[in-house]
Amino acid sequence: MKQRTMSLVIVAALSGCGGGTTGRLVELRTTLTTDLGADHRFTTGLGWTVTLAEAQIATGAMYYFDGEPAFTSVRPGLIEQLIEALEPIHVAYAHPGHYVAGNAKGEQLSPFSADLLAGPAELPVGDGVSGSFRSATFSFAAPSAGPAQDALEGKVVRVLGTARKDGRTIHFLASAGLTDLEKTAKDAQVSGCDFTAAEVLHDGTVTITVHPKVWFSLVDFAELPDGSPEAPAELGPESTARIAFALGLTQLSAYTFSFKPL
Amino acid sequence: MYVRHAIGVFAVAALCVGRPAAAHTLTSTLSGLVAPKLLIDAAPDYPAAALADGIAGTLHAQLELSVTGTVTAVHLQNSLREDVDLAAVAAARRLVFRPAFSDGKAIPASIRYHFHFRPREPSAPLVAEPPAVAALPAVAEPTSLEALALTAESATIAAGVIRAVNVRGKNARRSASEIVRERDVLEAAPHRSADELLFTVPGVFITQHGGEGKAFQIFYRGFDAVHGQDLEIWAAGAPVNDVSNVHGQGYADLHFLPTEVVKELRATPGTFDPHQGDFAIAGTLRFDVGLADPGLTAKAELGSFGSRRFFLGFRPAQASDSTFGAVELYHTDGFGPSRSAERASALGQWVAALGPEDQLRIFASLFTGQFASAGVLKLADVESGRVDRFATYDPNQGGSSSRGQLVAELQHQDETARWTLSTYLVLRSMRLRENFTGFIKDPNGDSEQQLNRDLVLGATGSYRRKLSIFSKKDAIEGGFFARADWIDQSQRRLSVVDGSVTADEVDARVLGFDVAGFVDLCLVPWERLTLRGGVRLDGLGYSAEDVGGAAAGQARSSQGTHFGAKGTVDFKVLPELHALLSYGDGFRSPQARSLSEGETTPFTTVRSGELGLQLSLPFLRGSLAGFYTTLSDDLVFDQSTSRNERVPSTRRMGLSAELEAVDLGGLVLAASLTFTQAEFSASNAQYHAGDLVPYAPQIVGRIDAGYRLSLGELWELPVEAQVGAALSVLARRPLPFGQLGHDVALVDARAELTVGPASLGIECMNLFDSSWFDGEFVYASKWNPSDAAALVPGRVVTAGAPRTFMGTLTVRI
Repeated sequence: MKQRTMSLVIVAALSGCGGGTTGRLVELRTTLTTDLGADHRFTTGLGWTVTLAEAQIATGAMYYFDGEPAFTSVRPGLIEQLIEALEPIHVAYAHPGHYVAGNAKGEQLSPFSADLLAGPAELPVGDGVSGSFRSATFSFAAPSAGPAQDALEGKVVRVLGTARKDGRTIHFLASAGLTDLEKTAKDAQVSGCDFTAAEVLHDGTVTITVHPKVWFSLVDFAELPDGSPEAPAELGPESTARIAFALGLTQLSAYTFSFKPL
Repeated sequence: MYVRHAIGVFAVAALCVGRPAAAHTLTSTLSGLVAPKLLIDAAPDYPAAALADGIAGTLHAQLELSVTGTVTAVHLQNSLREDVDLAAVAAARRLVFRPAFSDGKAIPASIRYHFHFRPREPSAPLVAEPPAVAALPAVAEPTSLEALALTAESATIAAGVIRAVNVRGKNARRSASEIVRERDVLEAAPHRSADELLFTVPGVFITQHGGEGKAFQIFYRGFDAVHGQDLEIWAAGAPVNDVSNVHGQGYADLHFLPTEVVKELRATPGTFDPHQGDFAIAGTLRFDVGLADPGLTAKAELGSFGSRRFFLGFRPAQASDSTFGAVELYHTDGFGPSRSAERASALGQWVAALGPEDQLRIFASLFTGQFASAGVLKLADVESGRVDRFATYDPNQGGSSSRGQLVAELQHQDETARWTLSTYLVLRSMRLRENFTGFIKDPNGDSEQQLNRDLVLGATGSYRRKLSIFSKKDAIEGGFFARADWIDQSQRRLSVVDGSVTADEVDARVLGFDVAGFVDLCLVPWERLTLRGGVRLDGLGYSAEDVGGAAAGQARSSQGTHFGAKGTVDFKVLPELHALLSYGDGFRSPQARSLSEGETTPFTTVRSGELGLQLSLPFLRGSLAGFYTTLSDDLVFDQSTSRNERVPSTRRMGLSAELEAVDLGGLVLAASLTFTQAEFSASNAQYHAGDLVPYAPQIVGRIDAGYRLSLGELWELPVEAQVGAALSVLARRPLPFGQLGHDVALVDARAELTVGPASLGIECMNLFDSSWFDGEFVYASKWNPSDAAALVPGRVVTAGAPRTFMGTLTVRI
């Protein structure tokens, strides 16, 4: 009886030792993908139908926050509403300086490079803490890891494709380095991207969706020569097209994030 | 009231005459008759039940000594009570003498020995030399056995060596789990410093995450006391806690105490005693000092990782163990990069009788130490093999520490009353350079340099006298406490590259005062019921002036008072079994820099309660207690500031059990197990009510075991073997963000062979070479400046020491 009593005391004491500290660390797998269809084709707001043959990207650290995303909904006029009706992608206009990130909830720090046309790419695993995820920072980094680092040849984005409009076909090569991006985005980071609201309580997967259509939303290919498949026309440094391309690369709406628990 | 025992006059019994010469195995160069001389002292344990029942008096014993000086028989000539008698007999059997000699040959002898049993209160740790010593005439050296007997006969009456031995009386307990650890348990397993002696206290686990010279981190009954914020610590009559230390409130560095001079460690859990003051949140620890062996003790140690230690102590043969001098020198290269350490300490204590009822105690010590620190590593880097577990990210970490201490205590005791007056002066300095986060805060590095210098001046006093309200055991005590601190402190961020100052964060002068008065009653309205308790009123005042940093030029002051009620109900269920119910209000002073101008209630207040049973059998004692504690606010380490920062209110509840074998021949055995649940009782942005308090371990266990065995003689010298081991367990250590730290189980062991005055031994820490982490934290860190910034917390750790050997050679003269 005495032994049983002592056992009960120990069990009672041990059962009281449960519970946990505030919050929880979670493991976040990270997947990089695009919203491109199988034909890798889209039409921009300037009327160019772009078909991508190659698309590589070099990513840096990704951060996730509980603060609201930066872009606001600008009340569209009639023409803008018409364009929006035809365009599935909402072009968001960030207001630099207004974004309040809040508390850091997750991150993936390892640089990587990926072929966006080869299907979803698995980035190195990241870490996070439980809570609300509402916005994110997407960053570029010099290619130092991943399967596409050689193809990038030191650039952070490289796109090979064709642009068609009014019967004209332009074979183009669009690329950008860190210096191109840092003219419009500090430290080549795009802060305040939308993270589809999620209450993260356990391990899961963060999916980063790249929208290449936004990259080219401001690019007018008309100024480029036609080029050829063997010698595509490059967006020259300091050219309007190159600047527009770099602007597109740093648009908030070019990257969206979401979470799915395991 | 206090305890003492005294050596009575020796006498060589006539029966020694005519014993065969073959029995003489020891020889001496001394001619004629030489009396036995005490070599190894042993004070009796005052049985808790007898103490509680007020059993007191003198036991007269006759001891039979062998030719090797060991006690072969004990004859009591009177009796106080069976448990007291047994305690005296057990202590007598542990005595070791230099045997009596006749014409250079050892002979058996018979001596008289007296044990005085009087209860002692904690504030009067020592007893006076009996005044009769000075008045006694000298004894002539006897020239024959017969003459010796005759001389001794008369000497018995008129003269002799009377010596007051160390006082070991245990104070009236305030809770069931209150405990006193004495040398037998303290010395059973190896300990590298006085801090490690805390492992023997039930519910305590200590770790060292900042280098071998930094104050240990102490966990106690569900509290992460960090470096002492929740534990009031006293040593040799002076406070050890630093008030408003820039690194952590209550920072307590015990490296100045060599383990050899610690004769008793008293742990008073909770805050149930009116004598307890600032920092007594989880409880109070008191170190009593003394040197066990009379004469000269020299010890040399050599061990793993270039460790070497030298200890020299002396104690006058005619003095109690409280009068001694000692010096310690230590160096180690460390078990990995940035782990070297060295320290030097000198200390001494002198106890003298000023008259029949008065004594004076003077204690002085000087200590200096410096150490390197490897700092933290990311657990992911260790587990992936990117770094070795003993590596360091920043090799420039470490620090230094120094302490000077002077204590003077006057004590008076007569038949009806006792009073003490004590004053102390402490000079402290601490320098730390640590980098917890790498390059998170600053691209030049987050290395933080903290400097803290403190001049402490204080005094304590008390007056206790008998009352006769319900019984003759009733008593009342009134006392005071005063402490003043003059503190200079700074914190600066340094560049990892060149050590230049990159940010001036704190530069302040702080003045702190703590003045308190207390009244403590002991009433025994019924023989089975004892009521102890009283009140304490503390007045604290602080002024802080920022001379640098962001708030340069700002000055502020604050003052407040704390009233604490404390009480214990002690019910004697059986003579061997007592039930105790305890309650107490306590407080912890704040970091002075954090106070606002004119703040009037600056304290962290604590309420604690305990209900338990205490058992005292002739060969076993133990306790089982449940406890509950609430704090108005708490402190948790924040790596971003490298300091403890305030968090919401918390509560702790738990169960503590401990057992100790008593007087089992040469066997020492002590075991304990403590369960605690510590959780927040309020929320803020970071912590939620009901969640566990991070870093406070839930399960702490300990077993100390030792055995001493006499192996006969070698070269006519007594041979003795001693072995000992300890198992320390820590489990369920909650970390932030729902993490659990790694459980820890460590075994330490020692073995020693003594031949006459020399001992050769070996000690092993972490016998099974466990890979363990003594520090575990969860926060964001970044250790490569070119890496992307880490914003999300991750596990960082400090590696615990691997298996370490130390060989020891001790000579006692």
